[in-house]
Amino acid sequence: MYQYNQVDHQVIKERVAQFRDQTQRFINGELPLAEYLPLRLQNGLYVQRHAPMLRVAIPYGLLNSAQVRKLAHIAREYDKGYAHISTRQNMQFNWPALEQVPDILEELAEVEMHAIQTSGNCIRNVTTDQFAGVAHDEVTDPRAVCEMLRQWSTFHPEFAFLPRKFKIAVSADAEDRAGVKVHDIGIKVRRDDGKIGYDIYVGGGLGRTPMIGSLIKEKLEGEFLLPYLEAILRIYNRYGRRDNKYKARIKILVKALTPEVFAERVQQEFEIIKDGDLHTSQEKLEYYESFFKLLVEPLTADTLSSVKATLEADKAADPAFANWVQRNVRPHKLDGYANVTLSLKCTDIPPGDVSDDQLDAIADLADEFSKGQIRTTHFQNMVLTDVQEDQLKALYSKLVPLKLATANTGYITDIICCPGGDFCALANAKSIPVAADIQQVFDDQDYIYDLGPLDLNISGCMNACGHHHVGHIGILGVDKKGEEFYQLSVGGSSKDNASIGKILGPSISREDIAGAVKKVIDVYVEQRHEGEDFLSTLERIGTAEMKERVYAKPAS
Amino acid sequence: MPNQHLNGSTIENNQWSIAPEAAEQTTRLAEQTQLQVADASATSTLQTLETWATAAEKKNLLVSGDAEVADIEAAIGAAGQAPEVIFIDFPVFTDGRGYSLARLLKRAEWFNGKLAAIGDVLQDQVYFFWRCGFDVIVPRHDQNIENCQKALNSFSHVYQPAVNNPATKENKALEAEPA
Repeated sequence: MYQYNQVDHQVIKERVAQFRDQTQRFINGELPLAEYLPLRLQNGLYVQRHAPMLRVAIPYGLLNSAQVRKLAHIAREYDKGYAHISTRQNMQFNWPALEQVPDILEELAEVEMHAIQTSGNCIRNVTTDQFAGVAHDEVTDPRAVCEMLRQWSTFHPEFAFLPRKFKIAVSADAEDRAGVKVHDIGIKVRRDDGKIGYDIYVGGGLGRTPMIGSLIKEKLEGEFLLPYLEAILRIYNRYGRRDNKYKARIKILVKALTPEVFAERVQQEFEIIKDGDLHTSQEKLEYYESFFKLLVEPLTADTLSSVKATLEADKAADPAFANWVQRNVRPHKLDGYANVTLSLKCTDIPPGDVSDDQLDAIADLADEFSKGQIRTTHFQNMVLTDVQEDQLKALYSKLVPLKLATANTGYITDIICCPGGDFCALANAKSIPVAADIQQVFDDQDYIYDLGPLDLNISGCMNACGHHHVGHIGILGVDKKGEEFYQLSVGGSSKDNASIGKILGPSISREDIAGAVKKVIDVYVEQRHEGEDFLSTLERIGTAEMKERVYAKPAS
Repeated sequence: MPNQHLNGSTIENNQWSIAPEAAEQTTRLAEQTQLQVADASATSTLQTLETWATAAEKKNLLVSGDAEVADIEAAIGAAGQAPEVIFIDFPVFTDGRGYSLARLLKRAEWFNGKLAAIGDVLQDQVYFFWRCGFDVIVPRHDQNIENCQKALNSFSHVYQPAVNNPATKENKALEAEPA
């Protein structure tokens, strides 16, 4: 992974000093609230319902064990003993005291971490596939590009006061696990005849006006990636709307101009700057690549067959382990290794929450089984990569008592969920209890597996932090005269076939929403053809019957 | 607070007056800055795009952050004289359009003068202004000028090329590359 050099360490230290000064001026009353606000936001600090929330950046979701131990320490010393993984792979603390935040940042700096640009109207932390670099289905490792973008966007002097927040995702895998079409800029890495190129999508996003991004550039070469992105940002900064914050995202500008005209304007600016200072030499691209090497070596034929035999024997001896392997373990680039998802979707804990003790244990497991590295995922889980397959049983045995072995990755109970009304000041309704209700309704594992892979996403308000628009089933909390209600939608997807879910009908009360989800699933189960997944069935039968079932008047 | 600005890293006294013509902008700038409208003690006056052609003194041009470079060029071309300083107006500090305009003006072949930031100009933005090519920074009336001066040195290194480091010598990736 990327290693800080002296310059990075120096810059992060200077940032902590700068933010300490800003916070002190605010506390002293020298800096008005309105002027402190964007400064604290650009350092990941929100003011929430109960306390500030600090969002720590995890660049493209990659951590080492020392960093995870530090996060455990912060959860324990400055918070209530847990942290929360966001849908953009960052980690959030819900209970720090404002005056202690500079101290937390100083502690983070010791392990090459920070909270820079995790909020505010600036370029946010870049996200990617949680299996980047170890995925069996990727055209190349996208992390070098992510790191290049991280450096380019960090304290970019021109783009610190954009019309609105700006999110970039990079994906190089076959199914698009980063959701590039629902980001302000999505970069899809491709390989044609051995040559790497970048397809640029712009203007996707969720929130109040969900949209799928438009492809405005194909097969861009790596050397021109930074000039092209700078051109997009410059056009957006100049012409994005600033009169209405709900119409200020780049998607609104792209739609207003049309993607074709927007692309032309970007192209004009790009032509001027493409060979300028941001032009990236092959040497420099290789410099970024040098940080992201495979951590494991190919196994010899003999070792490989013994590793495989051990795994098969372990599976045969323990059906629960075999099931977990089937659900939570994904193939690795190299035969004989595997990538393991640690599910943070155990029924009695809010989705994406992880305790200080769990974090410490995960750090130890990473050192023992996965070369000291850990990933956070868009689905609010964690991942250990590079685990040799004959070690899976030992890892599993240690995960079970930690409650990190729930075998539900990708299934209906692997719910994406924002913190909602329990924590967030913006939320209209709670989301965590709804997730718990649904997990309780779907508590039969065999039934869940029979349903097949299913994305269920919950947001507590239309800001859509829980990505409800792109869930196969999406739930949105709304406020109806002071009461919590929930809008149910179906048919969304963030993957390569990205689409926005359709709202089924009027919003549904808190006590009925989990039951309504069950009715939607019942219709799917009754109507599906052999082996047909939820989205395909929905496409074939439409929403009429689901609507009828969900909104049927109870027989009196 | 003293009636001062930064010229590069040097603290200097303000010597400008605001031309009375642009009513709304004039009133706001007079409130936000230490400058005054039609100040007799001033040695020089800020003119707007509208008044540029007819202004007796063509030294300082005041433009909005959303001004088009082509319109500025046309106004200057029509008047036959380029300004010594173009002042870019930041009506509120969260309006970042002026940063991009600065970069466009800095590379315009017809303009070799200085750029100034004026309006809701705060200490915590000074570093960004400087990096985007602003030579002159006129802070809001309540800002401490020494703190603004210090803010020029907020960071010892930068991650991306911008106006004040056109060659990427400062760029860490190059520095860190094996020799």
